[in-house]
Amino acid sequence: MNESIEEANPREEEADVKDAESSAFVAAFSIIGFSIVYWALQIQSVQELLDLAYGF
Amino acid sequence: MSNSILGPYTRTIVTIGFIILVFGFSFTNFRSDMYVVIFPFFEWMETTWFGIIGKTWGAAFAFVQTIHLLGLALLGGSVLAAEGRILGLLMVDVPAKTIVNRCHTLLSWSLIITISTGVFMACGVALKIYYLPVFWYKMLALMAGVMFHFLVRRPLLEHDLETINPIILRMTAVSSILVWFLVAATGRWIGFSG
Repeated sequence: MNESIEEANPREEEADVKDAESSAFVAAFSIIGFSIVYWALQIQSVQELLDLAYGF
Repeated sequence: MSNSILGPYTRTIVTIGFIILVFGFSFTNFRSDMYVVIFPFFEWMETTWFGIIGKTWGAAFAFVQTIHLLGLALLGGSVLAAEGRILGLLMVDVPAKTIVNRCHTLLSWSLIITISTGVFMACGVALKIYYLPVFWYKMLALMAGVMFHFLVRRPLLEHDLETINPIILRMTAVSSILVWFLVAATGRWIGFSG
């Protein structure tokens, strides 16, 4: 009984790490993707404003 | 193996669900419907004691804003220190776990400071910020940052850092910097709008 609990704990810990890793991957991928698009659009809008105001 | 009804990938499923919910809220009519519904709340905010003090006593507003900015500096510092250590750029002679844990405590306190002073400041200029799109971007970014930190990053870093995939560890550090940078940038943007 005790042996099976001891065996189960590292497996449970490993599964917990895998879950935390995949959840972090999904969240990080979304944040990095969103940030690239968001800041690219912001920079593009500043460039367009500069172009309208000063012609460059 | 897992006691949850969602199986061994409960946290991942909840994270995906939350991301869909945030994007769904941001890019559908639900956001504009909510925008109308909460208008009376912003009107009420200006009539509270915080709102009256913030509007009529400029020194009080400036004092609270200073604490807000110091809290923001503390938040930025704790994020940069922890993520810089994870990325191997700073304090490499100190164990990463020590820095991550201490910075987590600092970040929690800085969040309490910035949110409580932020509520006071928002009461003073409630109707002004209501009409500023950047204020709503900041609220979404702040919510995303808090959720990411406490529900994704913290549970991941509670494990032994050696057992975590280094690419995911670095991606988490970079996203943490990006999300808090967005919170700070949109926060400062409010100051230059309207």
